[in-house]
Amino acid sequence: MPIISIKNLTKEFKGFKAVDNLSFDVQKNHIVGFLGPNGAGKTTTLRMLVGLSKSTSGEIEIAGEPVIFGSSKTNEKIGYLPELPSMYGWMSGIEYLDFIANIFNYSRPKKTKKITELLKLVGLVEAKDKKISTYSGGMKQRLGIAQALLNDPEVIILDEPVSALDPIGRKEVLDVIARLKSSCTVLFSTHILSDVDRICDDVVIINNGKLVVSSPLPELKEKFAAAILEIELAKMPKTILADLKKQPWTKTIEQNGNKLRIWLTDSKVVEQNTPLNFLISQKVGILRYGLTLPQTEDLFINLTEDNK
Amino acid sequence: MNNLMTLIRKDLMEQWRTKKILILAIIFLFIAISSPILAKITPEILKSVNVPGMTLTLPDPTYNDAIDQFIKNISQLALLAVIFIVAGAVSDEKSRKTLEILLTKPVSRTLFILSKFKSYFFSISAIFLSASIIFYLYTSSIFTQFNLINFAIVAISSLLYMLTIVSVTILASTLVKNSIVAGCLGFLCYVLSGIVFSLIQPLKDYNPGMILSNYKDVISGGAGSSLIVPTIVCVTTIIFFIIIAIISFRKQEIER
Repeated sequence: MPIISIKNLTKEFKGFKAVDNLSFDVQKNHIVGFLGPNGAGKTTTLRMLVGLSKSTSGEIEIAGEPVIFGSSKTNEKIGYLPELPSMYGWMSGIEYLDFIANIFNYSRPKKTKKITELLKLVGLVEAKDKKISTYSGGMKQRLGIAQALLNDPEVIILDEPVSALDPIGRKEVLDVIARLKSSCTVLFSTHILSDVDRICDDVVIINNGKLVVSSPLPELKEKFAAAILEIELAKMPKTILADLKKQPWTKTIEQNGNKLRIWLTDSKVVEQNTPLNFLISQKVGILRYGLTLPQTEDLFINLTEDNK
Repeated sequence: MNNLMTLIRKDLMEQWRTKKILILAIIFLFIAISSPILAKITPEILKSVNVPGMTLTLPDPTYNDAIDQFIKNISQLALLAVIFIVAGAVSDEKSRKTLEILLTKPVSRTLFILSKFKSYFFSISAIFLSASIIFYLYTSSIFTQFNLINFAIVAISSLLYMLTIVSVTILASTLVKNSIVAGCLGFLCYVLSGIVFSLIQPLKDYNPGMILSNYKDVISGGAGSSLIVPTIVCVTTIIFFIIIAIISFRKQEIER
């Protein structure tokens, strides 16, 4: 039984469908990357999941309970971190966690133990007595994660949890998320696809509010990823890019100087030397030529291109 | 109920840390001390103005003049300060996005609005009643002692009127995202109830501001029955505005 179940979810803003008949499930104790280009509807979907926004139609269930807008019943079971979280700047970090713990009616010993554990987990022990208004973006993000974990939630929903962080901060936060796998389910939206590769079990990709794919990450790579041909030419003739785009085996091309990455419609054309013969016929010097294994980023580009 | 207390404690702490309580306390204290002083020295100032050919005869000031000053200042200066301090109660949480995390916890939206009203109820009541006690003691020491019970009735009536304005300001703060707009809406309701309604005969008797209109009679002769209708109007108005604020807030989506 999935821990999050979304069925035919739609959200309309004045006739514009930000989320369009979206359905997917999230399995228990999985870390799920929620991907999509800007404006795809990720944040809108997550805000409906946590009851901040009202769906136009469709159903959401979390841990077997329906999410009802304005009702706090499923909020007992979730932890939520919005993108760029805002907390009371006049409170210190520890006061904020104490305030949230009081909402969950924790006893004093339980509260003290839990807050101490979380401050250690997110690395804010030294800064716990400083006012939140003096925290850096990364510190706020880590405090935000701590508050989301305070009630030992079954599901943690994180909206772009690492987008505002520097590489070290990102790694720290991702390590924290990866450690949560044994105790809860994590659904997090991100633009940083290497992070998905690093910690996710499953991915859900949406575009224009619609589901593109929902699948375990390894299966997805195997099933959907088109082969990518990486080519480096000695020089780039003017017409080569346009000519390559016209070839029936070309799906998408990415150019970076004299380097080309071609998403193939079928990897068999490489076995038949079709692209190589084409390049030779164009009389261009080939410095490098070979197939590469697709990463999540390639997969994302491929799938969202298809969806257009 | 525990969550309501947690939210009220948080709001009171916020009012203290952001110095809202301090600002109100200074204004109320200023009114409590300056009202009897002004009542005492105003005739002397006027007498000292020497206009040739004109003789100014003024009665000796009494505690009634001090109470006049006190009620006037409370219903004007203090109420304006209250409106603009309460205006950010909900709208600031929306515009600063602090609501986003809070409303994803087991906090009902009803309790959230109630906590806003109750926290201001506690802080404004404590400050105003303290200021009233200071006013009473100071006025009694400058002039003669007057009936404490009757003054307490006037003070509580003033507080009730103030809380009516607080409730409408909280409603305005719930409806909009900007605290200045909320303050202006609260001020508009204050003007409507204080001035406009009192000029329209059918509405006059059901205007919350009427609770302050008979304070002179109350000071001299006690409450009688004149305060019953205005008290019911104020209490009903408070409950009505808070219920509307709750209904509106329950339907609101929290925008990014």
